[in-house]
Amino acid sequence: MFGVFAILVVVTLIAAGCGDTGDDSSDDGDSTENTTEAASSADCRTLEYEDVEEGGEFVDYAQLADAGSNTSFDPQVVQTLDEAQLTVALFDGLTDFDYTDTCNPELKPLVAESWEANEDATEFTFTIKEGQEFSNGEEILPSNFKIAWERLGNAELASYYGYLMAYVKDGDKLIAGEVDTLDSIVADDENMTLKVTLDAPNADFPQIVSFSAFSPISKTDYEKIGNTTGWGTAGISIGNGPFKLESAGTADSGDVVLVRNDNWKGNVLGDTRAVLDKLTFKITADVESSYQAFESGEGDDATIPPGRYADAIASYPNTTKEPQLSTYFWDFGYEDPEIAGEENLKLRQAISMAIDRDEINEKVYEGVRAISTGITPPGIPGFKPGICDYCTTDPEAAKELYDEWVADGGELSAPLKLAFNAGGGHEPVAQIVQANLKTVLGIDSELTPVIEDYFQVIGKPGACQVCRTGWGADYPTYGNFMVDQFGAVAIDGNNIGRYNDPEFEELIAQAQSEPDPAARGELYVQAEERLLNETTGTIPLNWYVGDQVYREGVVNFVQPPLVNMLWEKIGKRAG
Amino acid sequence: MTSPGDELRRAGDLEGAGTVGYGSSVDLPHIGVAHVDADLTLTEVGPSRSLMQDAWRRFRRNRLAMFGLGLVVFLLLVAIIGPFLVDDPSTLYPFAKEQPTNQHWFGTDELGRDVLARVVYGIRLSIVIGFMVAIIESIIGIVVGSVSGWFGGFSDTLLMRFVDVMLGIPYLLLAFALIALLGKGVVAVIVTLALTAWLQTARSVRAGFIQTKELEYVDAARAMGVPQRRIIWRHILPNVFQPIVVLIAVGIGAAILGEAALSFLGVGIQPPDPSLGLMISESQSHFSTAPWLLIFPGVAIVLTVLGFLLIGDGLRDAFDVKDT
Amino acid sequence: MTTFLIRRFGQLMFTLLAGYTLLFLLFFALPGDPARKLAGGEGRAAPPAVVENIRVKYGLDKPIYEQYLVRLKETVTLSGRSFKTQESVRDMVAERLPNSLRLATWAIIIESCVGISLGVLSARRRGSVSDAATTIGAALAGAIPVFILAFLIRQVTGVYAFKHDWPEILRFPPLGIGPDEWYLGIIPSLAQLEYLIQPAIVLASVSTAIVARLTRTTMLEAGSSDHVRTARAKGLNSRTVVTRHTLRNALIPVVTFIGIDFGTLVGFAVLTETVFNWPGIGSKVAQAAAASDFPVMLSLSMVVMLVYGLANLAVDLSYAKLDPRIRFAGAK
Repeated sequence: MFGVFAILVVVTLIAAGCGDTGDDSSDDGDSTENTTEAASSADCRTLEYEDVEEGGEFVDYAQLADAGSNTSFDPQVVQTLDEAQLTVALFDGLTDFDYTDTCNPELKPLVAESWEANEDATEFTFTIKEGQEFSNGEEILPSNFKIAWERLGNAELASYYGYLMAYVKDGDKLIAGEVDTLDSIVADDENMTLKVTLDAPNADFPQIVSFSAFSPISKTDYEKIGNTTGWGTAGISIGNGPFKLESAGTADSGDVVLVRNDNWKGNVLGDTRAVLDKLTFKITADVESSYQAFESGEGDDATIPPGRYADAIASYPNTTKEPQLSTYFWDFGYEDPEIAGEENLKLRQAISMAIDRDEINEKVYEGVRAISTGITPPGIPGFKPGICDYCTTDPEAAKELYDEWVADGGELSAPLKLAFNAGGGHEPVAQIVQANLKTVLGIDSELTPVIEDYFQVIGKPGACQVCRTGWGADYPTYGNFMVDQFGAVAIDGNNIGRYNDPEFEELIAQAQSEPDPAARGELYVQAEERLLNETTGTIPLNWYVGDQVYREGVVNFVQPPLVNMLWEKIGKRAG
Repeated sequence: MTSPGDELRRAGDLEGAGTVGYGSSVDLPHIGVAHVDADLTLTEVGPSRSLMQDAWRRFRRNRLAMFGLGLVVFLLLVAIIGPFLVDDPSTLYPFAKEQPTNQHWFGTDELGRDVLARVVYGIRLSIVIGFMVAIIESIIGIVVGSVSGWFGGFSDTLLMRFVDVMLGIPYLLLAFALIALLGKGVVAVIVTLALTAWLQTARSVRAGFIQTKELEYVDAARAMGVPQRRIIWRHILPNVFQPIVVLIAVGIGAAILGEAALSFLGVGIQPPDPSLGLMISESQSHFSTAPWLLIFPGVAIVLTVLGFLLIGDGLRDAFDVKDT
Repeated sequence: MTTFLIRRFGQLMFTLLAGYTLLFLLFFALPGDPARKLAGGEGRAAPPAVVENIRVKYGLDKPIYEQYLVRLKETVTLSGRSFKTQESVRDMVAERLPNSLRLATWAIIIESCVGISLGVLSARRRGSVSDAATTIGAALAGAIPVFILAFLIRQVTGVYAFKHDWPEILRFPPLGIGPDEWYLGIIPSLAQLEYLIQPAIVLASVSTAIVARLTRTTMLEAGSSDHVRTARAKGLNSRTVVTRHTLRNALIPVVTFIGIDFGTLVGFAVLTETVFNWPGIGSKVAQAAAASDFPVMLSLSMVVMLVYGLANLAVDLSYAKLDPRIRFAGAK
């Protein structure tokens, strides 16, 4: 029942989002058919690229708007999607996804030639192609991956993604700073193989290593900076991607200029050379300034600031408004004494149902986003719509649940703390949530903006009561949403609500060791149901859509669901 | 990857914003703080009753000053009575960014709140902050300046060097420290602004003291054995009183602008509290579609600052006995 | 004169040392363990061994007085490196200080020319419409936050100009430092001027208002002083009185303000630098402060304080030129 209703909501919203002004090019006709596949097939697109003549310069105002001093393009350190946009232009990993059919992303070897797994998916051997080079001419060897991965988990580097190394056997010791190298990663430079032994079965491992954090690092750079981080002349400057770094200015101002890397060997689509001669990323103070620059005729693309989507879509024919594999939600603090635990389940459910998702979408996102029916977005293999029982806005039901909770002796001793990163455009959302809680449940709450290092501060024990977060897929697997956001392994990492439920853990462990994709998906769905319904550890709100605008004459500015552009494809039509 | 879309763009949070200047002008509005220092060369005898009456007479003749006074009185009334007449500033109406209508005279903001209500509450908050800052900084400034100016010598050197040092320090550092101690919000804003504004007051008061101290009648009083405290209260303070009043009027305006700047930087007033500065900085994104979100709070802040500024100007002219 | 200079330099050094001490203490007074912040931020439950490593590596394990001296040396010689990006502080200063100096210089030129002219005009026609307009204009300039002013200017010269195909000469690039072409280190090439003009105007806006009001006030005061009245009584025409007598006296506080303002504009143009993407020194200090990047914060703050101190010193020296009554011996 719920499910069907939810699907309809999703489909309508997506259709509305895409087909706003009558330029609806895709056919949504087949999108409402069956219960499990419908919502995801509604998003299916075939990414098409034109042939375009080599050459041209592209000036980007979109990716590094308001990057702040967080900006680093060190692949092992990169934390945000903005930064990753550059990292993917500069680095290639062992594997990569072919997104031609967005609903069936196909994993292909990239720097690797092939890989094989042992039977229980605990040991993977990657064979690396011969004759590949970094942009400085250094040969790419299996040992470049070994040092990069050990660097990723290195305690001193303290990468936000360091926990990913926990997948590897003894990786926890690496993360804890007890060891610096791992015997479980064996690089054989003679035979060009990289053998990795995992801590537990994980059939998704080849998918996981497509992520930019697993990019190789050149020995030249490693000798220069080791397990510290830095950028440009002071740090990482050599990559193996379609572009190479020409000048970096500094990490937080000026331009980052990339030029074609002639040593590049190609991507999974068969391209072997980047189209553009030069790719310049402008670092600006805020999205508003960048967009204004774009509106003044500067640059080739920009990010649309909040509040201007409708305006931008009406003014410019070229926007990336397609759905992304990204999800917007607010976490409950799992360890918070006021709202956590079995005894406060109804309170959490009431809060989730009291929040007016339509109001948020309409007022803050001008109706372009899709109201979510769970955390994991459509387009992720295994996705099932409508699995959440408490993600629909229903003031009466919310009030009922809240009253029951109060009748059971529940009481809040202080106003709820709604935490979010200051200046990130979340103030409006937080204020709507605040008003909803007051109106529907009579709960007082206070906004708690965090100025600095939000994701680090809020992930601290006791920091999050109700805190906003968001997640974009690093690689299109269900596990990337469940494990990285809610797994115990990611506590002190990306699991900022510190969600830690034994039953949930059991389910994701089962899923990880399940070799059959369909069965794995089913297990992850069960895990998410546990998360959303039985424990209500988080409040899904919406799924993102693309928010970039680009100039006429720019070709192949296609934003795949994974958000990162295929920069090597982008070109400019003459004239 | 954490936080796709908009949130990342501001992930740098404050880094994207910047520091708050102090003292003279910088890019942050700090009207008149510096020049009051230079103006402070009054050498007349302390204000007798007739002098005050003269000043008032001159003030009344100054049309701009009277306009400023009228403006401030009006805004004070708005601040005191207004909140009883307007909506609740935090109610969300269903229609966001609605143009001014009969129901919402100033329209609604991006979340559907009544802009008139928010402007009225914003004016109240601005005025409260302005007065609080002016009072605190005057007290600190007068105490430090008096001690420095009266006793001279080592304490003078020490205090004035300290003022020099404080003037040179980027004051966002101070703002950060205070926020860490007090938490964000109105109190931290007031303390931050007051702690940076007193420096100029102290310098001015000290200058006034040094000038007056040398005057003959003070010498005479001292020679007659009049107690120190009495000399300060009766003869010197009244003399520095005039510039301080000017300073307060101008300082209120500066504090209001300072609040706006801090709020823009994310270290000032926190939503959902209605602050004019916050409303203005939030309006930027909506300027092309809903310009009234900038215009109404913008006009309100300009009028408020203008009012206090004109009064300050008027007082300066009125106290100036040498006026032609 | 020489003793005066020596004493003033001594004072400046003392101020800088005291400023350094204050900032140094501030860093330790701020909540949070610096070593922990370096180990990936406060939020990370970094293993104790790692935090210890970092503490040792950055010398945070040493007694505070020792750290004080080590950092002092590093700060003075600009030999530190950013905790966050490993960039050399010296490179940072070398890159950013000239940018800040250029922007501040042009802002000062604008504020002096426009501000003084308006002030004189306003004082000569006291109570007139143009006087009122100057006062109100000054209040407006002060009351509009810089970021809004920048936004509005760009909305006109950038967005509107582009959409309506204004001639090239009326269109200005919205962001960035531009080609970085300067003659004699300070005079912009034509292409550079396009990038310089908007941030310089925005940066000068508030100060221009202050200069105008200050000039007006001091002109009026000076105009009522005895020797000017005498000059008038002698029948000198009012233009002569204004230029020869009034303006010269009125200039003293104005020059004081402008001199000190230069010192501030170099190091504190944070908002302007930020919104126009002008890589100056002030915005970097702010970033470093927000990120607890200790070496950058300390060294750049000291540079800012030094510039400020030198500007003050220059102002004191210029007193003597403008007002012969002031003697160095008396300056304090």
